[in-house]
Amino acid sequence: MDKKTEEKHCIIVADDDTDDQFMLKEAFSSLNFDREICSVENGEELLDFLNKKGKYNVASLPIPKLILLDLNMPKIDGRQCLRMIKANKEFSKIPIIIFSTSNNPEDISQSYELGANSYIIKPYSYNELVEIIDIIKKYWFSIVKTP
Amino acid sequence: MFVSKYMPVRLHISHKKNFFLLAGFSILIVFVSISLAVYTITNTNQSINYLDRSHDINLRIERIMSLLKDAESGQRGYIATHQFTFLDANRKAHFEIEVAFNKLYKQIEDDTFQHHDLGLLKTQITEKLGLLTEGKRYIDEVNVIDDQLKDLMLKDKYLMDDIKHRINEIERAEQANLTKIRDKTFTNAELSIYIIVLTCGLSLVLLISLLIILNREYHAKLEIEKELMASRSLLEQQVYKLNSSNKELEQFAYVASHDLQEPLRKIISFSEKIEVKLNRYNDEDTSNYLRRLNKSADRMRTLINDLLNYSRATRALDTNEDVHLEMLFKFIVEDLEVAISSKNIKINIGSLKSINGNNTQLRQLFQNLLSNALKFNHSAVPVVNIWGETYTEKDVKQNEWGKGFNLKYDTYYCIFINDNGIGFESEYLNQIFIIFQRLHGRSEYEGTGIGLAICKRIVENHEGFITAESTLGKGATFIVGLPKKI
Repeated sequence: MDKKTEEKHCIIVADDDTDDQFMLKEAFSSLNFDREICSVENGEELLDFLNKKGKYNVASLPIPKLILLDLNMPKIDGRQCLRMIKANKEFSKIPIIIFSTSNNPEDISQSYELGANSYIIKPYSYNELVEIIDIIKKYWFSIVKTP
Repeated sequence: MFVSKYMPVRLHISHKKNFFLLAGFSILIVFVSISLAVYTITNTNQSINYLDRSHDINLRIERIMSLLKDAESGQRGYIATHQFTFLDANRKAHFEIEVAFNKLYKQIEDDTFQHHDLGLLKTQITEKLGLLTEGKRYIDEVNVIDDQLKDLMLKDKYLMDDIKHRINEIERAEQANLTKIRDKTFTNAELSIYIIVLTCGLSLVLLISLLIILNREYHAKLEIEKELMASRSLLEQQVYKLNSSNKELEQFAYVASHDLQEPLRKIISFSEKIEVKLNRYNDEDTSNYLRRLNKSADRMRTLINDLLNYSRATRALDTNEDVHLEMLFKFIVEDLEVAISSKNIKINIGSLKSINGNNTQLRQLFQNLLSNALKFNHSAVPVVNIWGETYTEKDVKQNEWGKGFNLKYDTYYCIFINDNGIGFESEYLNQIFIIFQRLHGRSEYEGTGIGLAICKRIVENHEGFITAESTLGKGATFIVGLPKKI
């Protein structure tokens, strides 16, 4: 019981768009979400975060419980990232939600094929975004059990 | 470029004409040469035969002459010695001369002139032999050489002279005939040689001409093949370029519309946030500006979305899926349920067959058509009728709406979507399928003017057709024809 309270949990938002990151953080905080929201700007940073490499080589790094992953990013893009994470035994159990503007059927089916747990199209309106984040919060952090 | 391409073809055709003419002429010349050769050989053979005949005749006549002389000298010997052995020659002459004459007659059967001479000769020889017999009988009876016997022998001698003379004449005539025939043969042979040399020369010329033509033909063919290859590879290159530029364009439309969405999303989201904050200050003017801003942003969002859909509709997807049309329309009606029930529209779906096509695209196509039918309908009892019919290419063209269509397939399944809405004037038929073309102001009807353009692209992907029939104020019928491939 003691150990659990010591563990810090977080959600990683991987998105090169700082506006989107800002908006997501706003949405989470408006819902009084108590976990940390960690932002990374591309796939490379995300992998560094998971592997605790580079600037993420710090002891106090929180444990990621959910990843919100954008598809189109510089360096290593979301698709490659998804493939690599799902191929890694240690990280494959972390739920990944694709969070993209693309409503292209090919992107959607490819993402699920690669092992994405959900695919959400970024909404136009902030209010819609808040609704979606609320559902994500309820679903992944109260309803379902994750490792 | 195209002129030079077809030049060799024209040349080719004239060559063909010449070729057959020359070939025909060559064959004719060969036939003439052969018949001439046959004629000359036959002629020469005749001459040789004649030569043989003349030689034979001469020999026979000589033989007759010698027999006659033997008989004569035998008779003279008998008169002088009374030895019977001298008469053997006489007996032999009688018999052999008869045989020789029979043979001679047979040889000169066709020569009437010689025949006549030979007849005379035979009479004279018979007479001569008679005289010899008479002389012998006289010496047997009288046994003295007196004047009467001398007269007889003298007469005998004259007759013999006559015979010799006639024989000479016969031989001379034969000789003359022979010379005539030989001359004729020589002339013929000489002429034949000339003609054969001439025909051979002509044949050679023709042969060479034919070879030249064939050679030219061959080179022209090679040239054409080369040009064909060149234009084929050019075509392939162009098709490749077109395909890649189409792909690029498609990619561009997609990326452009996709990337345009990003900033727009921010505008909308942040303006919402501003709206929330602004509510506290109750600033009516700023709120009004913000509302207009949001409306514009919203409209731009619709445009971008439609443009994205349009660019997606240009993609050639698998159009060979089984599409259950009745089911498809059921789904579409479910999707449009809100609009249908708000306007209280009655939708009648008649019998529809299953067809081949792309499910996603056909759903989009009919959804666009049906939502248009709903949108442009203000009648008191709004109705939309949907049904399908199988048409042959001929059937399609017999309809007012199908006139002048350029159809590739034999059979089409036609889906009709008929409404009693506002309709449109038929002169605008071609305009409504063009992207961003609208017949009504935005304040009247919402929309971007892409819906029917998307429909057209989808139908083109399926190698079908789309058209409409309408009278302003009296509703419209949209007709979609999709080909039955095999």
